Amino acid sequence: MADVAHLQSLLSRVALGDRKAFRALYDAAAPSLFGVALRILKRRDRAEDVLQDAFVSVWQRAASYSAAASQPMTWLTAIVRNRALDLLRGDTLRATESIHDEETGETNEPPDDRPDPLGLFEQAADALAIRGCLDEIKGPQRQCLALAYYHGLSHSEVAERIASPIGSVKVWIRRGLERLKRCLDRPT
Amino acid sequence: MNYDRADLLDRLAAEYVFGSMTSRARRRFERLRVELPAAESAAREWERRLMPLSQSVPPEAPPPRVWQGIDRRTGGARRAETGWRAWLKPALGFAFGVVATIGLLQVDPGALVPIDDIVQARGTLPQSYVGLLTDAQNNAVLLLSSTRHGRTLSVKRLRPQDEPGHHENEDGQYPVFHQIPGPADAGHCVQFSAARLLNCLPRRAGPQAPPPTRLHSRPGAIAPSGGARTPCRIVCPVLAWRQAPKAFGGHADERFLDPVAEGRRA
Repeated sequence: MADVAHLQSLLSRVALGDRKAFRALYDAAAPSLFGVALRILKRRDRAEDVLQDAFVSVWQRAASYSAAASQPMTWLTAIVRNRALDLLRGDTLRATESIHDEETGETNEPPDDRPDPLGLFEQAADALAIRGCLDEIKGPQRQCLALAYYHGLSHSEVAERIASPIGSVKVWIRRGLERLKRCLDRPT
Repeated sequence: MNYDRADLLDRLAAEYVFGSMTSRARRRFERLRVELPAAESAAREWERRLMPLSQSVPPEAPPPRVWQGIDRRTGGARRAETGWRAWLKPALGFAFGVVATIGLLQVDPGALVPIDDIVQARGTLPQSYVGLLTDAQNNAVLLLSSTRHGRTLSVKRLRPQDEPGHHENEDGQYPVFHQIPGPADAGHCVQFSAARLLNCLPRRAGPQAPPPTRLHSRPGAIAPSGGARTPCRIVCPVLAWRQAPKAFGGHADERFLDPVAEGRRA
């Protein structure tokens, strides 16, 4: 991943309408962002749309980026995640997915051999050296967090996915977030 | 909901950023982010905090069509045509417009600019036809003028003139026009159509006015008998001779118009 200063420099040039900087920013950030969108949407065409929309938005809003408020990849990832989540929550996709589920039970996407949400969650915990801190978050609770973050599932969708009461899921996610906050904010 | 409570805002921001909110709740919180700086700040903090979780997602190169779409939507595809190609179309269009305008002004200067303004700007008259109507003694009596493609014939009396009906020119019938050529029309004679000439006649013909049938039967034309400053003869002189002095008001009378008659050379 490109370093923070380089991305900040590119973003400041994009804010001035520098197209070379815009292309360089895309080259540096798009693969990571596409991975995030793909993980949430699970469909390449949707993920491509989200990535395209996100970069069009970056081109238009680069001047609103504040280096003091957030790092470039944090800002960019938030844009992509929010667009992906909005699209995921959209009625169209819902309808499309339900058709796939009901009629064929499968999509035309190739089998997903990427790590599952829980696997990603574990990898992140290892990379951040917070696995020990997260040990308090057990089985289903950890799975709730992973499904919500990496697949963008809402409380009710998580509840349905893991066949648990929605009230329990809400509590698990809330407590899990509190724990995550403590773990992620502690000094390394 | 009491949004003054920091713990509540923090929890909402966490669920928004984490992605577990429903669509409606997301919309509500997005409005809150805009309206409430504390909500925006809390969301930013959770975005920063959870960002490391996204770094475990393996990157994946998007297909080239994604950038092509971005480039197109942000105007890059159009900007790629910078350089002389980008300027070619507007430059050609501008040049064509200039040429067309110059051409139009050459053909008809009064088409775009009032003729008075042209006269003021140039200090001279544009291409014009000027005719002098003389009596039998070759004294100038009337001055007729018009721009080359003008629709108005100006008639100016140069001296008091008796009823000229009894005067005849050397042909025994017609008075004489003398042409003073315009700047680009040297050697050409005045060629007002009868329609234009008659267009200057008074709306109400006087008692001497010939009946319309006579006018139509004798289409007007001014015919040259030589080159520059040579006499031109008017084919329907009686009409012009009798009515022109009364034409200073310049009103038209359709009864006298002859749309088919054009100037012809004698």
